[in-house]
Formats: sequence, structure tokens, C-alpha cells
Amino acid sequence: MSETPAPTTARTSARTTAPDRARSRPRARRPRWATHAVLLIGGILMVFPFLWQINMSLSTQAEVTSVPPSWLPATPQWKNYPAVFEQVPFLHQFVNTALVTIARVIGQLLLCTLAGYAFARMRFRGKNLVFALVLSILMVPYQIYLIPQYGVIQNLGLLNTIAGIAAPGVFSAFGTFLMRQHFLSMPASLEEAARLDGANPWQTFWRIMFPLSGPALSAVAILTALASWNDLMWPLVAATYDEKTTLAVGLTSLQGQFTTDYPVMMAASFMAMLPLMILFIVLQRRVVEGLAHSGMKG
Amino acid sequence: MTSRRTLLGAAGLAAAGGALALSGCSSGGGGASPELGAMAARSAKDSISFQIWDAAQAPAMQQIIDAFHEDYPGIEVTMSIAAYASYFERLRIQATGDDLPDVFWINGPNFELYASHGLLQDLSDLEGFDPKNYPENLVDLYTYDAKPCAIPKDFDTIGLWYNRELLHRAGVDAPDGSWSWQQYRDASEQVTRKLRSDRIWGNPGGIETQAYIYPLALQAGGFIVSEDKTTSGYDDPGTLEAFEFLRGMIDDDIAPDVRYTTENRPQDLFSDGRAALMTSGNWQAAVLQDSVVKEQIDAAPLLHGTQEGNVIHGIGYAMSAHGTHKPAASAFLSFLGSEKAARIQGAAGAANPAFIGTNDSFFDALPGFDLELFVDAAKTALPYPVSQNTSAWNQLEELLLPKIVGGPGDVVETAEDLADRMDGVLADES
Amino acid sequence: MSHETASAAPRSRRGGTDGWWPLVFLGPLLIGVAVFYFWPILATLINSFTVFGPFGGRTFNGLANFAQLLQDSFIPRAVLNTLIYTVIVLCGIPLAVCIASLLNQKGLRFARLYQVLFFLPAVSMPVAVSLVWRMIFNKEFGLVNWVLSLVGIDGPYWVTAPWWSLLAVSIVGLWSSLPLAIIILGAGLRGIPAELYEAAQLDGAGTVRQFFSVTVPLLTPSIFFLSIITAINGFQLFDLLFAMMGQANPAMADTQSLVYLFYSEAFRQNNQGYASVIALLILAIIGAFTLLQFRLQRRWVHYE
Repeated sequence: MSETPAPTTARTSARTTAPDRARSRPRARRPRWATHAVLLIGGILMVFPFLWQINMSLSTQAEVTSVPPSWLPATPQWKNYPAVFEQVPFLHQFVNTALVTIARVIGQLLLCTLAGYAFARMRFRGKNLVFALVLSILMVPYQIYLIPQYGVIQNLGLLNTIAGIAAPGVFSAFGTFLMRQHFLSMPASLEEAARLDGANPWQTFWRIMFPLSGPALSAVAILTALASWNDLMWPLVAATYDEKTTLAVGLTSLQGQFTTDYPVMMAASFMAMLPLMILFIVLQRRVVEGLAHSGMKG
Repeated sequence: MTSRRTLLGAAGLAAAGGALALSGCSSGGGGASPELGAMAARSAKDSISFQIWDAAQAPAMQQIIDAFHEDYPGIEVTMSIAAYASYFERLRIQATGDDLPDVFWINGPNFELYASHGLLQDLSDLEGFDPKNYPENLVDLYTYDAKPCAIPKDFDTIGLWYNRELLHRAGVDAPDGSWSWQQYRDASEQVTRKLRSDRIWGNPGGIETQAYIYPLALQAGGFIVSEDKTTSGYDDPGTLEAFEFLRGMIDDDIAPDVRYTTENRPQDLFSDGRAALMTSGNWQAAVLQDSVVKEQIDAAPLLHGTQEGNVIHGIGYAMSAHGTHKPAASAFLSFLGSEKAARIQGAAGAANPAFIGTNDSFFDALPGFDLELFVDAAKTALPYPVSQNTSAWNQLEELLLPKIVGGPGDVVETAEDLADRMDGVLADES
Repeated sequence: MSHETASAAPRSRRGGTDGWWPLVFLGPLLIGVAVFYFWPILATLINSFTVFGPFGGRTFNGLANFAQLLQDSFIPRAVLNTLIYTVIVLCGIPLAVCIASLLNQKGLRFARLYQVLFFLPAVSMPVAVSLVWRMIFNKEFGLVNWVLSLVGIDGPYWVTAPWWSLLAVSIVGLWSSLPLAIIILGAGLRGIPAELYEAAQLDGAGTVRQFFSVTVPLLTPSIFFLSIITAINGFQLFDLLFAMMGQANPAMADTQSLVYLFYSEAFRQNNQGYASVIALLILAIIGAFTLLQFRLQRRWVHYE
């Protein structure tokens, strides 16, 4: 937290001094049981669906559909978890999802930092127009891109490949926007020194600016990983073979079978979410910072 | 509705001859040769894709693949399962992308659309494939412009599945194959009244077309689509009578309403032991043999209306006309159509194979179920209703059947609305 | 967006520009954006005047798709549903302001734990979590109706009845968008200088007064940003509907959003031409709303 430039609410260019980190309300201390009660009850409500999901994944079909609800399985049905692997090529899909996510994160980190830097620090004709055009793609629901994007991927011969599923997500307007904001907030003196040493913009960027971009890079990486891991529509269209597609699509195909095995479905959906959740609980502080970063005002 | 005429006239896949140049199933352009060519040699090395929609039949299909692999050790077959709900959506995306699987399942409602666009391989010259080995009506179903474009895989007709134990608990005699509609309604009512406190229904309701609505409509003297494929039968008095019968059971709280059956599908209610009677096909055997109720259930011949009405359909194995692995795909398809593969499918209890003379393999696999009655029903069953663009009016069914059967609104009015819209679709076809 | 210019020092290169360097830096991104985003938007425009064959191929059919849009009885309902959903999800912002204020009190114990609790829904997979909510909202064995039955209410069909299903989907939408809002507002809260509160206290303002006279006004930039993001996401409602309601749902015709309608025309009924017109309509609505937001922001957003 310490070396993060905290998000700023200033309209002018970002301040160079991080705002005072002292929090709100230096009031006389008084018992906070009301606060704790609200936060605890609210918090439990927020995570309740996940607890219920785990509960259902360890129950029998009869327990899941019982009235009144069964709060704990009589005997935990661990077998529901291996059963997932019989019904969908879960491991294949897990690997695909991970590969697509990694490809998108690395691609965005590269392309968005480069472009963000150019938009923030370079001068060329039509800069504002180009930037506005790039931003405008944020306004369009992604479903609208699907059909033409499918045509593009098909012509490139990338249907049913990791590259094909990852490709459109590598080019991100939002990532570019975040990186531009970040570079705008960096003091100019850093580059000055490099330029006086005779470094060209490429060298300046990689030696000076990129290494100082940790928090912004992690914000982009986190948002990209989230979007990519959970993406449903595009993989549904771009990969039409079970072992070539991602976890989100695999889950929907579990839904439409002739019989619905609720516990197995719950086990599958829990396993599909788990990797990202664990990753994010471990990196919680980073993630919260990164997400907060995305709320920076331009 | 968009005009289907322009749709078909403009199909991009068709070569200069236009989409409707009726020269068989694989007359399309697309750069690939529509020729079948020679079959792969035993020593061939290749890999092909195979796509199906029923997870319950996947083990049997895998056994067939393994047996094929013994003959052709160099040919890998990768099977892919798409849930039925999205299977044809996916297949259409694949076809648009010229990315169809080498071999895949097709059904009656979709066959003609694919065949007429030259997407299915003409199988006239397929080595080892003789149409005489399969029931004539199924061969006809998969013949386009006098050329066979898919091999019948299995066949299904509709019977009355029942749960002995639940009927017994409610004091109802098991169906003996002579039941009228009224007897079915009375039995359902008695079970529902007696066992409702245990959340058990007499019948699980629903709006399944092939398993429930079509047979009843036919039994009341109605029809779904006219023989010349120009008129919808959804406003026919007979069809309306079937709708009134179904709506009556929901209104009188004998059967669950359509909102309930959306959340709890009839299939799930029956296989979870929460419904006593279900009209459905012999494909259920594959599903029910793995269910918790497998010891308590059996099948009986379907209900009887004012006339005999049952529906026969069967899945077909098709080959992509634009595939790039045709020799290997031919070898696999030829094996799929063989007696050996039919017997593997039957013995696994997956489905009643279409290959004539292999029914016994299916019966023997599931001695607990009376599966012969489905074969008997096939003698008088009517073909599954299809037209050139069946899926277009299937969409309308999905949208409006819940309103007809479950309300709100008047049965006749809503059914007439469906018939009108369907007539529009049919008019666009011709 | 913003009108700031880079605070870079004046450069002494050809005529005040950076020559070819911007191309090197921007090229890769712009090529991809052109291929995967600009071209699709253009293609959508072109497609809106055409009709598609069942397996691809297009023919020109003039303005027929636009005429169809005006007659389509599903459109007004889909617009209404989309708006209702968006408004309900926007109601989460005031809620998030309260929770964020509680979470960001100085020296609050267990703050880490609470943060994890409130934060988890943000990283959950919408499809996976929709399946869970579908069970929770089940008419017969769902938890929600069980709770209602405790107080003697016979609960509705949350997932399969018109209006109720829209409400259920909106509740899930609210739940899943809350964490990000709390995080962003938390960052905004930490940016409020403590001396402002001290000053307010000296003026004799109580906790509640402080909240409304210091916290809320100073959070308006974050709130503005959030409401834009939330509304744009709201107009793009699709995944939740798709996974929570399933396809053969009698309530779908009365619950579908504009994007769902687009999807169903494009992928289920294969009317890509008509779907493209719906896409343009969605674009127009989002564009108009965002413009309106920026117009109105001058009235209520306080920058320092």
C-alpha cells in the first residue's frame, strides 16, 4: 500500500503527493457493535451463495431438492467431485481457460502499456481523436462484436484454438485508458534525466517508466484475468469442441443434459470458480488496490 | 418474420447454381470436393472429430470408437458432446464457419436444412452401407433428393413409463397398455391427491413435443404439419382437443404447471422418483438405467385416443460434405452403420439400434424394462413432423406452447396465433 | 473524457511531435483494435441492411430490418426490462456508499475479514453463480421461499414468472456489482482529507451531518464514475439471464433484455441482419445515456 499513488479525485492532473492517508472520522471512540453487526450480517449475506454452493455440492439430489432445505448433508458426497470429470473434460477446459487468461494478461500488459504511454507522453497529430475512438469501443456491448469477430477468427484459421479465444481480448481500450492515466500521473523529471543521457523513447520507456508501473500493471492484470476467466459468450462461439473450450462454456453444457444432476453441477461450478478465488484471496490487498485504481478519475 | 425465400435464395455457401439447385445433399461449393472418394486403408493414419448430443449415450459411442480403433489403429476419433439444448445452435455456427465435425449426429427436424445446402455428404457410394438394412421410413427420413445423406442410427417411439412403487402407494393399478386418456387422467389425479404431501405428482406435465404433445394431438385426430408441408395443424380441432386435455389437468391441479416444469423438468421429476407416469421414448432407457428409480420402473404401451397416434423418429449419423478427412470419416461412418456397431450400441443399453435384426441386443441389455413395445409401436407410428425449415417453427413452439398449455389466455386463441405464425414460416419455405 | 495534456517537458524534436515513435508504440494495439473492434462495428452497420442465409451469405434488403424493428412487439418490453434492471442495480450505489463508509472507519477491527466477505462476489464466475442463485430462488425448494414461508408467505415463481424473474435477476445483478462499487468508493473515501472532518466537527456537525455534508459531496466524482460504469454494464445484461433462466423459459419473452433479444435473433433464429439493427439500437441508447450523464454531471459532481 505504501508506495501506491492513491487514487485521486482531482480533475487537474494527478497530484504528485499522495493524499494524506489518515482515514475519515477521527472521532471519540465509542462502542462499534452496531457497525460490526451490520458488516457481519451483510458480509455473510454476500458470501452465502458460495457456502450454499459448497453445501449443495456435497449433498445428494434428494437433499438438494428437499423441503424444508437441508442445512448439512447427512453424509458428505465427495463422489460428486470426481463425477464432474466424467461428464465434462474438466481438466482440458481448465487448462484452456488458464492459457487463454495468461495470453490475454500478457498481451494486454504489453500492448496497453505501450499504447497508454504513447497517449500520455507523446505528441502527434490526431492524438485526441485516436484516443477517443479507442475509448468509444467501451460503450459497445461485446455481444455486438461477436459475429464479425467470428468471421475474422475463421479467416485467420484460428477457430477452436487458444489463440483464437484469446485474440479479441488482448486489445483492450480499458487497459489502455488505465495505463494512460497512470503515466499522466508520473513526474516528467524522470524522463528528462534519461533523455539527457541520450536514450530514445523506447529505451526510456523500458528502463524508467515500465519498472515504475507496478500498481497500474497489476490493476490491468487483475481486471483482465477476471474478465477472461469468466467470459462466456465469445468462447461459446469461437470454440465449438468440448475439449477446446473454456470452463464457463463447459458449465452451460452441463445444464442442458437430459437429466439434471444438481450436486454434480454445483461441484463443477464451485471448482470452476475456485482457482481464481483462491488466487484473489491470497492477493487480496493487491487486488483491492488494483480495482480501486480502476476508479481513478481522468 | 423475414422471408425465408430470400434467405434460401441467398445462401452464401451455395455455388453458382444457387442453394436450391436440387442435386443432392452434397452439391454445395465451398471449395471441397463433394465426392466421397476412396475409403481409408487399414493402415491409414488420421484423426477425425465426432459430435453427439446425449451424454447418456457417450459410453456406448466410446465403445464403438474403441471397436473401430481395433480395425483402424491409426485413426483417432475425438468425440465431443454438446447438450441437446444448444447442439443445433453450435452445429449452425460450425457450418457457417465451414468447420463441421467430420461425423456427427443429425435429427429429422434439421436434416433437410443441412442436406438442401449441400452440407451433408451423399452416401450412395459408401462402402458397406446398404439402405436395405434399416427400416424404410427412417431411410426415407434421411434421404434428400433420392440420395441417402445420413445413416439411421436408432429409432424411438413413445410409450408410457411408470413407477410401480408410486402407483402402488396411491392404490393405482399399473398401466396395462389399454389406457384411455380418461384413465390416464384419473390415475394421475389419484396419485397427485394421495402423494402430494410428499411432493409427488401423478404425471410430470411439461410441453415435450415429441414425447407428449405430438402423440396426443395425433390420437385426437389432429396433426402438426400437413402432408404437403403448407399448413400448420395447431388450430385443427383434434390438436386443440389435446391442448384442452393438458390444460385441464393443470387447471385442476392434477399436473404441475409450466412454470413448475421449467424449474423441475419432467424428466428429472420422473428419474428422481417424484412423478409416477411419464409418456416418453425408448431413449429414456439409457438415462433411467442409471437413476435411483431404475428398480421401480417399467414401460407400457402408450395411451389410446380416438385413433392410433404415435411418433417414430431416429437419429442419423451424417458426414460433412466439406470435410478434409473423408477417407477416414468414411471408414468410421461405415463402421457406425454396421451390424457390429449396432449391437454394441444395443448391448450398452444406449438406444434401440436401427439396424434390422439387432433389436434383441437392446432388449437383452435391459431385461428390467419391457422395450419390445416400442418396436411394436413402430409398425403403426407416424413419421415425426418435419418440413424444410423445421427449426424455425420449433422456435415458435418453444415460445407459445407454454402459453397454450399453461396459460394465461385462451387455449384456442393462442393456438391459432401459433398456427398463423407457423403458416407464415411454411409459406416462406415453398 | 478529460482534457488534460501531458505534463511532459517541451521536446526539441521535429516540429514538436515525436516522429515515428508513436507509431511504434501504438501500432500493435491499433491494428488489433481495428481488426477486432472497428471493423465489427462497421460490419454491423453493413449487416443491418442485409438478410443472412442460414449458413452465412448476405443479400441486400434495404430498410426492411429497420421497418421490422418498429413493428417488433418485443422491443419496447426489452427496453423496459433493461431499464428496470439498470435502475435496480444503480440503487446499489447508495448502499455501497454506506458499507464503504463503515468499512473504512479508522481502526476498525476485522476490517480484512469484512473486506474478503464483501469482495468475493466480484471474483466469482457469473455463469457458475447463476446456477446457485437459480437453486436459491427455486419456487419449491429454494431458500428464499422457505424464508418467506416462515412468515406465512407463499413465495412466487422467482425464475419462471414474468416480473418476478426480472426482479430475481436484478437482485443477483445488484449482489454481483456491489463489491466493485465498495472498493472504488473506499478508495475515494481514503482520498478525503481528515482536516475536513475536523473542521466539520468544530462547526458542531454530528456523524450524520458529517456524512451528508463532507463524505457524500466529496465522493461525487467516484459516484459519477461508478454510475457510468454500472449503467453501461446494466444495459449489457446478458450472462445472468442466460444462465439463470435457461433457454426454454415461459417468462423469457417478458424478461429478456435488449442484448438477449439480439443474441436470440442472431444465434438462435439466425436473423443476423435484424440482430444488427437491434445492436445499433443498443448503441444509440448507451450513447445517449452516457452523454446525458456527462451533461448532468456539472450539476451534481463536485470537484475540488
